[in-house]
Amino acid sequence: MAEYVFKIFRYDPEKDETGRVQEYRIDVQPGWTVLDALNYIKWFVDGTLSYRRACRHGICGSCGMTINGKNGLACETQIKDLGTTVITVEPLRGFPVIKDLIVDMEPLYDKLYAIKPYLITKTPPPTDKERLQSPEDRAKLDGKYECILCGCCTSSCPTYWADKNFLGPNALLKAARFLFDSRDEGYEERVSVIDDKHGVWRCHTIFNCVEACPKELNPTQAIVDLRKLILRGKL
Amino acid sequence: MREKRGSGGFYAWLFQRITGVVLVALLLLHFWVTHGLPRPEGVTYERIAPRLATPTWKVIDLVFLVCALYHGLNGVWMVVQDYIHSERWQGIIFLLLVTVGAILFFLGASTVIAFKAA
Amino acid sequence: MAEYKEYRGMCVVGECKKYYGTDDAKVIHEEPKGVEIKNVHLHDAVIVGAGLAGMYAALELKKAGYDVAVLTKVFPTRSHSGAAQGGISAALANLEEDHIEWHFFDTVKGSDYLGDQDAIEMMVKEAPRIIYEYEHMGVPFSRTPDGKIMQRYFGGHVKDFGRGGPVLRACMAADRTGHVLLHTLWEQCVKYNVRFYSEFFLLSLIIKSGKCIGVTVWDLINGGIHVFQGKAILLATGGYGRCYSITSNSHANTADGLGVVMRAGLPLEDMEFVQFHPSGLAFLGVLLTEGARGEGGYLINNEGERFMKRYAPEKMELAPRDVVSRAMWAEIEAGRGINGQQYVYLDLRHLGAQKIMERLPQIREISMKLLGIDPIKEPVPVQPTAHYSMGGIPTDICCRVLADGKEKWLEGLWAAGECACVSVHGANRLGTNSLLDASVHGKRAGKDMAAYLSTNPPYEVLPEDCALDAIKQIEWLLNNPGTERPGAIRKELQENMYNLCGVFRRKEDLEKMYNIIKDLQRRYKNILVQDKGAKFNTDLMEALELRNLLETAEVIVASALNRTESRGAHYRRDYPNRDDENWLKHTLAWRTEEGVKFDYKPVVITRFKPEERKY
Repeated sequence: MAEYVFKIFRYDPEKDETGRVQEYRIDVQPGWTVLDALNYIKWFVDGTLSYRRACRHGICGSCGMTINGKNGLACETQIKDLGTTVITVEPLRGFPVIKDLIVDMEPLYDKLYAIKPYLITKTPPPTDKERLQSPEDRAKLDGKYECILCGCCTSSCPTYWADKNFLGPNALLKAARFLFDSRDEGYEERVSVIDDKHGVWRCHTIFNCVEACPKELNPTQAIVDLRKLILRGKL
Repeated sequence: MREKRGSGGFYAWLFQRITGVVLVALLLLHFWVTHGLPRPEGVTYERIAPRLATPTWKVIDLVFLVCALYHGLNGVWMVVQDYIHSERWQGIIFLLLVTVGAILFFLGASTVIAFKAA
Repeated sequence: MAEYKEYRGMCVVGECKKYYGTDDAKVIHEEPKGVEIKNVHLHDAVIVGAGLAGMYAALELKKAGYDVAVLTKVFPTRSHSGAAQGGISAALANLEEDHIEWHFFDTVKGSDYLGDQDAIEMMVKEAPRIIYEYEHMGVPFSRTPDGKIMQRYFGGHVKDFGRGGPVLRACMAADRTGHVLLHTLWEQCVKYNVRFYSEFFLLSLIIKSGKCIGVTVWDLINGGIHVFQGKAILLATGGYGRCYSITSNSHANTADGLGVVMRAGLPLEDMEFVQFHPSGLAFLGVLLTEGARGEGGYLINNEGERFMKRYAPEKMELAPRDVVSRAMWAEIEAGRGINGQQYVYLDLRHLGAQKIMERLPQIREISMKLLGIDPIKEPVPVQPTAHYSMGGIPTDICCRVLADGKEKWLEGLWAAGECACVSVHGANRLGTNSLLDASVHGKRAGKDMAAYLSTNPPYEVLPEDCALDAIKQIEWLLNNPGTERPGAIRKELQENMYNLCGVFRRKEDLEKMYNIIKDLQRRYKNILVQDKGAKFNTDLMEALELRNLLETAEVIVASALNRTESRGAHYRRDYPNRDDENWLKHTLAWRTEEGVKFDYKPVVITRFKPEERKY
């Protein structure tokens, strides 16, 4: 047990003109994650603290936030691994704040809708049988289909901070998940969206998204692969 | 935002890459010619001027000039696109960059082409 | 995407005054509003819950051309269906011989013969078609060398009507099966322009002269009550694992659907059957997929013994969940837990690093991130965790909610997924049958709702006071000058439920638990919600959830006390045997102010006669 200081970004839309930082001193049990600490504060110290949470094992993507300056899932961040007793928790950057640690993810979803995030097929599937896909083709999706839409990548992207029209690593990774699927036949539709000055060409390969992704995916690699794909398609 | 998708970016990116590669190659050539070749009599105007006057070197220098201008100004243009969102200002700056590029190209090209050894 | 824009326009999130974090990231600001009805929405069909069942139904309805609204308290891809890891069962026979009848038998036997066999038969028959449909939607299943869908072993799924060895039946996508199914369904919903209302919390059903005509919900983002009127309403609100302290369930699984159904005076079925999953991560309850045992993991006690050989000598670690959970709990009670604590070890080390990383990557990730233990090097501490609720809202095989629990349909209301009790799982669910149940019944509910809508029923006139109770409830919670915090009450409820109404149950414990719940319900009247605001008031949400938990827990405990036998997941220490003579029947429980009232209905037995369940 040790006392930790949590500096948490607070903003109540009905009271505050702008955000402020509130300090909580709490005793942290061994093995606690940041989410455990937030839960403790909410349940036993200050019920007004607001944040999203659901599954608490890193699959639902609700609790993406900025912890000591780095984006990640609160439920998967061990407090002791942060190596300090002063922990700042802020909402994800680049998205509008609704309240405290809750941000409006709608801009992120809008980008996803834009890239047509669904399998597009033209040839009808076989009746009462699966489409065949070799394990090698399936392996091309590894590192792409695991995305949980937590928004940590896009929120960490300086290019997205500067250009809110940039599709962002999240949507582009999702686009790659379909463009590299051997079953997908939506090349034209999807490429027409991402082959854009706010699409794959906008990325400056800063690699923040790779660092931020709690699922250890590599959106930058996906973007580079997409560029090669488009290049090959054009030449 | 959706309807605007699918416009541009590809060639700007492609040429940025190509000019980048060409610049690296030309820079290496430049360094080798300037510092790598044996030069018993030292780097002097008399030794270099005739080389710069040959048609091959004029073409090389022109390519160098075009690539450097494109690469540099396109880089500035990218930064502008990142941080300036008003279409009007983007247009103004774009024209400005093109004008600067044209003037610099004119100055550079006229020097390179007109150069005589004597 | 016009429809989404329209939704955003309707629930204006407000003028953006100031960004946070970067130059122009903004803080949303809007004038506060009191409790009021903000909007009345009219849709052909209204679905509450956006897990597999809810979204499958939405897709079916949308494809049939109906206007459907999906309400969910989290964004659709955050639903808890996505946490399922191991697989979804279907007798595809992609790798070895398998038959639908074998799957049928295994499910019946797994249910300890309490499952309704007509419903089970329909489900297992539908299973292969559902899997192929998922594949056509684009689910990235793992593949066999010849390109078919990969299948793995799973507890309780065996060959030749229980006589053979384990069978490869669970269709899988590494250990993220639920995740890929959920995301793919959401993608299809985006494709078909299904209209989602994310972050709306269910408050009550609107029932008018024996017909369900809508729901009232609380808009979490902006505050304010919305009324959703529809001709067909589907509840797909998931389970109630949050009644327990050690649970694999999400923070959001708080029996919201069951709560509103009970308050509408409807019964719940078979609530005593709560499945405890054997391999929950110790202290947390977070699930390590049964796939870990399917791939060959060992369970060992503090003496280093594979203790399953004393409980299920043939199937060992692959015995059904209730059997394994009880074996673990018996070891723990006998003092053979590790360090005398409430957990044992799951040992994967002999599988080797390559197999663990290839087939069970998520397991490794979870135990490393949440406990700091690498299963390649160390055994993982596990304990039984409340995992799945077999019971729920009684429905017929078309997913129609039964007003009396037996035959009479409450017109306009359907239920599917974990919140419903068809019942296909009976007293105990087999692993991988939950994703199947949610998908099959989601689809079936969607089809049935579409068929009902095609008869063109009229919209009823909404009663003036339809949202009155909901408004009163919210106003009371926001203004109650109490002292009790929801977190403290909930903690007491959950911890006691785990110890007193868990894997093993006794009369004294259950009676004690019932009194604790009654006491907690009294304390709930003195509740204090600290956050008084309207916008994203999660404190208010937790207080609303707590009421559902308390009422549901009461029914669980009363039903467990009532059933004086042991069957499937319900194990009474004082009645350790199955009693087919008196108890081969479903429990129907009505929660009233005077206590829980019971009635029963017979089990549908078509093909397999009850026999002793041995593994």
